[in-house]
Amino acid sequence: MKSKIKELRKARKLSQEELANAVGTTRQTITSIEVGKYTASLVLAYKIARYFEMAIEEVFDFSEVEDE
Amino acid sequence: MEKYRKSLIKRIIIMAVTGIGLTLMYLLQIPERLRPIENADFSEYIRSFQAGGILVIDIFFLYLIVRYGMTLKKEEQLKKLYYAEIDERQKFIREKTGGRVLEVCATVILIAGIIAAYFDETVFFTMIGCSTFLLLTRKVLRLYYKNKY
Repeated sequence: MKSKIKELRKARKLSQEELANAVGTTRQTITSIEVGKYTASLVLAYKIARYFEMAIEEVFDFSEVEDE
Repeated sequence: MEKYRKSLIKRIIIMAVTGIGLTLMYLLQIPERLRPIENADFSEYIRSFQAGGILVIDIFFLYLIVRYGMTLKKEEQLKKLYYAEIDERQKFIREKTGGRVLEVCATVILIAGIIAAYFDETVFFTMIGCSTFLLLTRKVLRLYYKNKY
């Protein structure tokens, strides 16, 4: 699943570690989500979207998931 | 976070008690271990394995006790360790590699193997081999899934 986390993070000059601490996960998980290897759970996706003050669908691209 | 802090303290106590218990068990067996091997109840290899096993467990527990002790002093470190333990990706990988069931099975087989050493050498080697195989398979699978996800 694609996401805009990297762009949003860079725009706010946030490191993966800082974002991970803010949403209660690890840096490795943020890396995996950013490169599209791992699909975040609804709870984590909600926490990330809320952190960036955006809706989940604005941060994550669900189009590929719907196609599967 | 306070709940997690308490759980870490509990873990430290359990590891300290288990480590001391294992060491005492070993020390109590010293007279038997000092007997000449031809009169002993079990072979030199099994004696050495048990001594080595207890030493490894004690060192591992000591490492964790020091690590948890240092973590408890720093709030930031405590948070990091907590997040690492509740991390959903880690949980997902753990489930993919057999979860706690495999860990418990391997540990029970290992303990049973050590106990079986008192009765039969072949059973001891078979169980240790089986446990090692389970743990190695899990490790390889973990590496694979960590790379995949």
